[in-house]
Amino acid sequence: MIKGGKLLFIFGVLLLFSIVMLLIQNINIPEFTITGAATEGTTSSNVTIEKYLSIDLSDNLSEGIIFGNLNPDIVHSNATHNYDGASDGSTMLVNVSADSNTAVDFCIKANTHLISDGGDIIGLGNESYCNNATTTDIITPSLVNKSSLTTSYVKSGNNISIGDDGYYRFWLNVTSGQASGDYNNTISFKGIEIGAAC
Amino acid sequence: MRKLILLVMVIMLSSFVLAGVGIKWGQESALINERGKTCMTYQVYNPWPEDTFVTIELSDELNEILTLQEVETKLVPADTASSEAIPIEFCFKVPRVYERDCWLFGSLICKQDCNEEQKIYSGEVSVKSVPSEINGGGSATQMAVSAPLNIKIKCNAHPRNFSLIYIIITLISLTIIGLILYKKYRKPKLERDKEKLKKIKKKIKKETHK
Repeated sequence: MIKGGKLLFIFGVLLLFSIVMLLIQNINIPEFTITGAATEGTTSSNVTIEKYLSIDLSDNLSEGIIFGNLNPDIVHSNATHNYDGASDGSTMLVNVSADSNTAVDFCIKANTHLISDGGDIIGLGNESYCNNATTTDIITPSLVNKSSLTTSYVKSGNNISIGDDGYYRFWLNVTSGQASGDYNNTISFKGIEIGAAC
Repeated sequence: MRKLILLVMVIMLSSFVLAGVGIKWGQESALINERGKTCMTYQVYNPWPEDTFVTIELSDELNEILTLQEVETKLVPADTASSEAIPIEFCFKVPRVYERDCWLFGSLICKQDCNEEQKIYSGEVSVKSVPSEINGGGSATQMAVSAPLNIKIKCNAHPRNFSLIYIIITLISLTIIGLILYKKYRKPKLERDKEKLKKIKKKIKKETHK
């Protein structure tokens, strides 16, 4: 049987050991180095690179993309503002603010199919668009180069310079037998730094 | 109440034409220690002649580690130039993402070698306008601007941490030392001296018999 005094000594040593080990494990002791008489001076160098960009939709694009009253079984029906600009150009455009310091790429997506209050659907593949970077007339943006909208962002304008516009046209197909009603969805335009992914 | 007023203002404003949205950023990446925390500031502006309500969102990849977003909807007054942009702060807390080699319960007495590739959360910060309202059929429109953001997680290699064992030894030692001392000093000094004397007498008697 170990006597009290000896036990006290053993556990005292254990206590001391564990405390020292805890300190060693958890405290970083700074390294001690001899530097001699060397002299050295430092100064900091600092730069912050800031980027900023801003976009705006034209009034006719802001009010939504409207196709009017359509009869079923129609192909490539024009949005109402496809040809109502000067030289029959489009008045649906996205502008890059002059208060930007980087050129901008545009991305476009729809949130869903065109859906009526009654739950009827015009598939998103029937709603298409074309964009031409900075100019518009009766030919451009052209139906020939149209793309269907998707629910993920895709590039719809590259390298739009500060202060410039990107023009859009939209078309809709309505198949025969399509139920009557108001069909809606939301189309988003996103401005990103040139070269970035959508 | 304030949220209700903000909501009413958003609905009222969305019935008019959209104003523009702008984003300003000075940092596209941050290096954060595993289980560390950092905050980043982005700025929104609106150099166009209409007030605009914007929502500020992070992409899903970054939402995993987001702990705090200052506001979700903000009014950006008309003619707010980039030089007067309004700051918005995001704070991130990084969870444990690198593997550790642990002896107990998967989280005790561990070491970390950091042999894995650096983990990076890549996403974007988006400033979105409130969608337009449309009368009749057609597509409502919404605009957004975004800035890229990469959160790089720094792995801190460390040898096996035996702190738990040392803490247990410390506690056991303290308990036993305490018990011994309690046992020894619980009786008054006079009584202890008497017991001591009794023991000595017993010892002397034993020695004499030899």
